Amino acid sequence: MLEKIKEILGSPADFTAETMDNGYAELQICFFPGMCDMDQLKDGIIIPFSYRFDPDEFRRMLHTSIGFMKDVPEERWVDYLLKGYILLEYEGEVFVFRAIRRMQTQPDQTQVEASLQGPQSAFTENLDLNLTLVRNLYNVPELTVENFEPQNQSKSKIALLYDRTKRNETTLEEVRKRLRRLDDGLLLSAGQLAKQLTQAKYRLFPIAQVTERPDRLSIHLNKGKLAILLDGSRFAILLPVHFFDFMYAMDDHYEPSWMSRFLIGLRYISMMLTLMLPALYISIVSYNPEVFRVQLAFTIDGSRAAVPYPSFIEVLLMLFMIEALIEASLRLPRSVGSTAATVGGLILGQAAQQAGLVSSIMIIVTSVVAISNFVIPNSTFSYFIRILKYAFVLVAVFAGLVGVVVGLFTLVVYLCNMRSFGEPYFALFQSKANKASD
Amino acid sequence: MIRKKTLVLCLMLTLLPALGGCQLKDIDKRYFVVSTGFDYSDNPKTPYRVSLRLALPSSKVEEGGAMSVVQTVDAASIAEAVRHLKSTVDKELEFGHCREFILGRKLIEKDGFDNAMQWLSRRRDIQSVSNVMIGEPDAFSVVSLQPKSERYPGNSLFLSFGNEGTEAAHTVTTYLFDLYRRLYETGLDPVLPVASLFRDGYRIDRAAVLDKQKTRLYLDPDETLLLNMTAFGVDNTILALPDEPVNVVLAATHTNSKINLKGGEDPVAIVNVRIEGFLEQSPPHLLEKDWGGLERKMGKHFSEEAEKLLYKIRDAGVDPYGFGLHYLADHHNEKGRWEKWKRLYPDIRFEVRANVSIQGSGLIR
Amino acid sequence: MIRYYFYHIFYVGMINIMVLVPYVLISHRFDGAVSSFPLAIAVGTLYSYVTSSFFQRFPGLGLPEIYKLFLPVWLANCLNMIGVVIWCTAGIIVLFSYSNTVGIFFDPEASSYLNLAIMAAASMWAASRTSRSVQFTHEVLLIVCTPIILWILFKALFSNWLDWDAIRLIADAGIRQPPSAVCLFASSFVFSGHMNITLFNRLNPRDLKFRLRWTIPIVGTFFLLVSFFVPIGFHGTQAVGNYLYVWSVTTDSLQMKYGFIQRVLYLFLLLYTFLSLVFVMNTWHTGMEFFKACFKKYKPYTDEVNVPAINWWVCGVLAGLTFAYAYFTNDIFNRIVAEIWLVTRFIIESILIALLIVFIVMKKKGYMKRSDEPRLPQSGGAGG
Repeated sequence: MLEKIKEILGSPADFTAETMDNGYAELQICFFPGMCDMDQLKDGIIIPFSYRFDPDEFRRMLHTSIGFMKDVPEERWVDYLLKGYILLEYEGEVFVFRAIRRMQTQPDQTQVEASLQGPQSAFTENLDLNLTLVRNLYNVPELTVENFEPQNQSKSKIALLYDRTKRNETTLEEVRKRLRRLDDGLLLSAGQLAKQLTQAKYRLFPIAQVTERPDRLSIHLNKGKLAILLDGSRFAILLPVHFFDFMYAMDDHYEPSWMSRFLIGLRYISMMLTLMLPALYISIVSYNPEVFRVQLAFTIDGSRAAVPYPSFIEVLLMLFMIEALIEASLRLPRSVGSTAATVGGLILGQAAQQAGLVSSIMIIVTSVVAISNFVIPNSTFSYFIRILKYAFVLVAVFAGLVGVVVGLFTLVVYLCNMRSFGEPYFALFQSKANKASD
Repeated sequence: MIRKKTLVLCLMLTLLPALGGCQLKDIDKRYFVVSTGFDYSDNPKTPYRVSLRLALPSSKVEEGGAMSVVQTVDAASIAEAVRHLKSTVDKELEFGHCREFILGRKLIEKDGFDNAMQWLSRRRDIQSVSNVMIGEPDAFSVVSLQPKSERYPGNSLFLSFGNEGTEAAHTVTTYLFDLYRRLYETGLDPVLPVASLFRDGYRIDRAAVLDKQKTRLYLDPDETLLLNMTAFGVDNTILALPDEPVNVVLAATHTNSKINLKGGEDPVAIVNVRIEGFLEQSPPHLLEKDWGGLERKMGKHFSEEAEKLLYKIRDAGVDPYGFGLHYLADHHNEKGRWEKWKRLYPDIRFEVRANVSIQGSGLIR
Repeated sequence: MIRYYFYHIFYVGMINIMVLVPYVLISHRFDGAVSSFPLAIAVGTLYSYVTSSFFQRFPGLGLPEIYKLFLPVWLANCLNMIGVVIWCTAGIIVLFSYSNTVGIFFDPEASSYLNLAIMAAASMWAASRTSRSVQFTHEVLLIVCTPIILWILFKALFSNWLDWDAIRLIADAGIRQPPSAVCLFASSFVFSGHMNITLFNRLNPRDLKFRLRWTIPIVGTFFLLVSFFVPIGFHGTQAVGNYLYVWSVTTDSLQMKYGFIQRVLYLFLLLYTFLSLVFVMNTWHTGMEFFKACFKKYKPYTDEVNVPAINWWVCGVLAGLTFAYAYFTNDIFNRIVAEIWLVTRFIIESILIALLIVFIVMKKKGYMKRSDEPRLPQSGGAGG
């Protein structure tokens, strides 16, 4: 056995392959020490084999214990080894022993989707722990887990979760089909998996939600939808989703109803602002200054007096600055990040206005755009919105206010035309519509 | 395939500018007209003198900080004058925020206001809720005044109307669409406020009643107040009862008026006015002594004054109240009812039924 | 799903302004406009009842499928083509007249083709979607627009400047005149929202009951009276006839003192941009589906994942036709065309109603060419 393994693996330095002899019997064993749990190895194999050796008992243990798997086909040996299993040969039989080292035993802290009053635990990079977290929150017998092991380079385990009584069969079948058809590159994160599952490259909105919160996943399962967990990623994929799911923070579930309604309203307004404000600024300043009330028109007029170039260049300049600022502070270490924000936001903004490069109204517009963008609770979704506002800017440059409105119409058509795994993405009164059509 | 798509995309992008995009004209390349005056120039070749007050933008907003310039030109028609004015300024003229249109007194007397109305109603950018008024002695002087208290150019005049800023009881508010309606309507005649200068400000406390062409009657401030109360039901007015040593004055918070016609061949026009308010000036204990009596007395006084005004307006041959329209609406589809009304109107009798209700005497007895 | 039916009722009630119904009615305000209202209300209600109870008996079937049940193929195709023409011209007229209105009030200096181009492109893209997407879009935009439009209408209705004497005068003068045919045709348009069911019935489930049908005359009458009388109240009996864009000027006579935008006109025009585009989307989509139904292979999918190329071609041709129309016509001529369209529409609608009644009788007696196996709305598989 050992020869065969070595043939395939070569002999990497982090690989152990030995033949152990306790005087009575021989045991061939091989494993990756870095990937295995040494305690389990000691308790499960070394002790029974060495100073407590009893040939009958040892044989019985190998055949009955659930830790050992027998009759593993030869070509799968290496796969198991690479996942952290231990391969052993005793009396001519090959066994696989499960002793994977668990990096994490504690749930993570939420980082991306922080919540004030909700649970603070988030998914980890360990699939088993993640499943435990879900089972704890969604503790019903109907919860079903299906495992997929894609034949790609990472071979990370994928678990498909759903509620057996509530799920939609066509959607489930579709997702299964796509999970089997994954391509064979590296699969590193849930976001990447979501991208592969949803296929279209140029879509403007996400049709699968990536979350780190087990409670969000449970609510989702309870609605009869599906969730996908990927081993090694601390995010889960929820699908199918609707447009409105992205605007829903988990706190809305835990806080007083009026407050959460107010906040949801606030988020939609913010989304519209961040999407439309630069475009509206251009179209009103350059095409229809009479739309605003007179005082505002005069103020804008006055503050723009020193600005040497047309409004759309002003807008693009400021938007570029703010995007650069966001991007810069995102990747910087925490301690430097705040400095960057101060330098960029305060000094640059104030100075640019005083130097007459941009109008003071434009500074306000820019900051409103940036702040409102952060109000959107889902970061993937807010990225899409961030990009989309440039489309509106473009329309506004060429066609003014009418262009913006027509653009909005097109956006609504686009959203209404989207389907997330067969379900309408942007239909109002979803639940009723579903009942009627099913 | 992808390359083909990119090519098509590039092609479309280059076509985009061809569609337009050069239409864009920034706000700082435009002059905002804040008030416009039309005068009669005495030159028969170029009878129309158009004066525009243009706002100069400033980034600071403060009292007295409003800057503006006035441009004037004479031309054969208003439209030509405005076109001509464009060549005297360096930016595009923008009428979208112009809500004050001043017709010179002489223009209305000589030429009527029909031509000005034609231009105003045709322009798409002129708001239908613009204020139209008569300028005295001429429109130019009203347009060119730059009050020191203005924060925004033109704001001062604009705020004088409606209940936008001050709620002046003597100011008649006439919007452009209303004037246009009255210009064509049978049985309803236009009224215009008259604006003149008073120290460093505007004084808009009189009104002119017009027929379809020209001014027929100028009302003095007291009559304008009565007109406002009886015809337009303007709130926040005042009602004074002559008394010794000081007048008793009621500050009316609500006024309602309704007209009604009675009688067939000898019609009586009844104007029901309901006035509510507080006493602002009165001798002590007057109200307690005879609450109902005071209300009746004030009502009677008001009725007399208002009837006097109504007869005066009737004798001038105009009808700003719309009695004629009301008569037409009442008399269904009779043939020749309009001619009949024209015959009846000069002899019509008026009855003003004032219902004054005093809510209290203010903070003291 | 009955709500989708009422969306159509509502939005046709509101869109009548853009099909120049008030313009036609106001130009006849002294002779027979008002007296044709009761007739129009009666006719409109009757037609709505007939169509809704007819389509209730054929759940999941659009008009082209029903033609195929009762008529030989050539006749069905002829009728389909009539439908195509009448639906698509409606879209073209509205698109042209609206882009014109917008051009005048927003940007008179810009080339009038620019507005037309972007609006035609948007309508083309919207109309070529699947029926289900079209329905969703319709719902979303209507729910956004209707409250604000109703608010504007009520603001106008309760304005101090509304002259009730003028309204009384016109109502009184008009009701004594014999009704005029053109006004009847024009005003019955307000009630013609029910015609959209001819296509969108495909999406209706089997057990759909047309409840609340008594609201149709109320809604229609409200919009009809408001869109006719409010401009008269604002501009008087005489001057109202001088305005070309009568509702735009009427909304301009309102003001929002405390709003960001002070002129109601702009708000109104922006909202009507949505409504007009929705109208064009609906009409073109219906026309397109009717056209596709003329082909033998055609199957009435309502929710295909991939939009077939023919959708693009048909809508592209319609957009091209709009440009050609815009090139050869002007605003005044468009008004005449709109009037002709209103008349034709009424006549064809009447013929259709008669035909539907005949179909009901045929069904009862069993004269059907093919059996009406219930076909549920089909979707072309799950997409992503």
